[in-house]
Amino acid sequence: MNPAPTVHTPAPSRRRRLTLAQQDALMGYLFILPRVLGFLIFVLGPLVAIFIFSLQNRNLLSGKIEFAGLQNFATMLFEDPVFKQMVVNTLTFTAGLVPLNVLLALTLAILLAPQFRGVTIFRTLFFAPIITSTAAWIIVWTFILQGQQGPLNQFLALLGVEGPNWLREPASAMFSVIITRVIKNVGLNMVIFLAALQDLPREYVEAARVDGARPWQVVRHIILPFLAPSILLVTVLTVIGSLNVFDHILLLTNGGPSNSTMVLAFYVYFNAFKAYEIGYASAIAVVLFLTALVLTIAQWSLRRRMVYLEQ
Amino acid sequence: MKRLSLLLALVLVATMLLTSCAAPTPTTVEVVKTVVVTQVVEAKPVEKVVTQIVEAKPVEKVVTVTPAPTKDASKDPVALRFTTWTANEAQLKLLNDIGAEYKAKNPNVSVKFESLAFDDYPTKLSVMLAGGDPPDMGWVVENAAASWIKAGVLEDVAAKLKADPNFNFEDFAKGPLGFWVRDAAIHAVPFSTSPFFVIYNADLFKAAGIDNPQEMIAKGTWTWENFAKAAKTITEKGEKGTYGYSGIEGGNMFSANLWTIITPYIWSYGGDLWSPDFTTCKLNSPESVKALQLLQQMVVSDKSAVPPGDTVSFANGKSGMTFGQVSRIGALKDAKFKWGIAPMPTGPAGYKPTIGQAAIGIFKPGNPKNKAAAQDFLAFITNKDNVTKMAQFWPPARKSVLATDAVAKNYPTLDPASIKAAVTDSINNGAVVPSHPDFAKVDLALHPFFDKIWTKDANVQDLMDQACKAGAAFFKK
Repeated sequence: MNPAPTVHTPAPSRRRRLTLAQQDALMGYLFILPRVLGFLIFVLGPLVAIFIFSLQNRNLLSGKIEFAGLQNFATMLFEDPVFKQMVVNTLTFTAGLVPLNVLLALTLAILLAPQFRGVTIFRTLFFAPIITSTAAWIIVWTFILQGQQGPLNQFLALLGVEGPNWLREPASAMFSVIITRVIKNVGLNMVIFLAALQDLPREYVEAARVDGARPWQVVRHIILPFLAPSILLVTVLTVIGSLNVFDHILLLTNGGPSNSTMVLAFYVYFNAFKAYEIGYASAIAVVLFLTALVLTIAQWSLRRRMVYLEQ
Repeated sequence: MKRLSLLLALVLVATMLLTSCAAPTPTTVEVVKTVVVTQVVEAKPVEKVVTQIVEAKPVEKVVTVTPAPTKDASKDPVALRFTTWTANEAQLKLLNDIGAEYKAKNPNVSVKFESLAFDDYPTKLSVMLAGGDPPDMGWVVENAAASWIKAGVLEDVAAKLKADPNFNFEDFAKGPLGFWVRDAAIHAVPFSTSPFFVIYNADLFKAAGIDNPQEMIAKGTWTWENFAKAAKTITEKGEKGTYGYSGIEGGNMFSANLWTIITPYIWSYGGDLWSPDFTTCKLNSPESVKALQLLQQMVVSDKSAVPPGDTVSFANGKSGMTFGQVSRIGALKDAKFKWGIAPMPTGPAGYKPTIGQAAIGIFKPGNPKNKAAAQDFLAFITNKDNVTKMAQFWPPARKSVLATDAVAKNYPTLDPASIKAAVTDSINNGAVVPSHPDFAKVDLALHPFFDKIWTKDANVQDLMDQACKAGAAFFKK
């Protein structure tokens, strides 16, 4: 009699197997984990900390930390005359820089989109300031924009024009900061527009020309609507960048003369690391953050009206 | 999975907030102390001792079980961290040599000198102090002094220094030291007491056909008015782009160095920036206004001072006079013109030399275990022998060292008499440029009014009245 065959039945697994979809999801989460961790630690963490600090009297030097409620915001809005000047300066800077930057970038992109002899040289020329260090850029411009001794004013003198003391007179100082910033950064926006223009179907432009459209009409009715998503993106980025400008001003004018080029981001730095008042600096940073947020949301909400093509 | 991600995010944020809000120092100190005691008693490797601490064995019990020979706590190993803003190899070598000499006498104490960039020094140091990474001691610059003392960052070292017979506290010149002494407390000891003086281009004076400052001193005519006249003549008779006066060598006289530039003018005219107790703004006093009017005249009317926005280097030979300190003399070794130094001119109130100063202080947030060693090293590095060694780079505040040639011998190209007049005598009789507990805010509030002085038709009295009004919050009784 043969012994009964032993039947091996596998013991039921205690570990639940992941479905294929779950495995994919897990893999996906693992891939984004480094980025998410970086965001949590270096972006979200400090952001939350700034909101908490803004409600405190927090001195970097003495180490004093006291709950202050909304006192920092009250001081900022009702007692600090410098803050009001900083708001005006920041708005002036943004209002001057953003339209100029976007329009110039757009114009350059449209002019340099067609392939013609030497186009690469021009594109490189306008993009070169982007890869130049800000410090080197500012050293050169500080030299060019000197008062009587400056090359720019000496050139103007040859034309019989007496140039202002560019960096030492309030109006010309803000103008100088804006222009040098635009020239430094316009290349990046130009490249974004150029990339977008590569996707422009040639047949639209050719059809319009066959129909007798003049160059400006082609730009107005075909190129600009096609570029609308890129224009919105560039505008949002430039506004945020202009609100956060700091190193450029620190090196070029150090906020002067008469605090005329001191903007909010600079004032955050001043209060945190010169006056050692981290709480007050955080309150200003919160206002700056919320301002950028509101402006971004407002611009984004405009896209339904402005943007015809959106992928 | 969504819940897991959310939970992970919350845990991370909470961890960050908790760690940022926690005050780590007391915990660290406790562990360090425990390790030391246990180590002595049981002579076990540190790793094992740490394990015992984790197991929460009470320290008292360990001590009771194994009676230990009495140990001198002052012989525990100490690693002092000392911050400086010099990156000069020769200066760092000198400091390290002094540290090594101290270690030879105190084998348990080692000193590590850490260099931070000068421009960001107060900022970086304050972040280190507040961020749980505090050095034990380091250099402190004079314009940060009042705010650092007010914030309670600097230890009072009076008891140690006054009780040390070898230190001879009375040897320090009263004027320069007074800056760090508040209500009998000594918050830092100066190691660099560097007066400002005039560096002049002798060739430009000769070409203009006028007496140079040393010649004027000999004739007793070295006044601020003649300083301004000489600057105007040099500008008029010099080549295009030549100025009689270029502010301060290595810096811009209208921005960061404004206060340093205007102080010698104002003091010599009998004015002041503000009262020593910070309760009164004195910039709008008749004396201060008169001094500023002279500087305004040089910039605006005479056009003999390099105007705001332009830069002219004295070392390039395009400036007749500039303000400088001994640390700037090295930059002139390759100058292609004859130059000399002279003390600041005299004004209606006489000769009032101004001094830029740096001191060594002990930081309160530093490791409490290292305090005694830090105080002892402070007394060592600022004793007469080491001050004499450091005089090759940093003019001393010790009268006994000033009486020697410790400073003059480092500048063989200069007449020892001019070194004595411009440096040594100025230290003995001078005062440190003013500071304020809210210096950064005072500068922010008042500086805009100075920017307006250098324009045509600006009324200095009105502007200084407005400046004092704008800064009223910082000058309260």
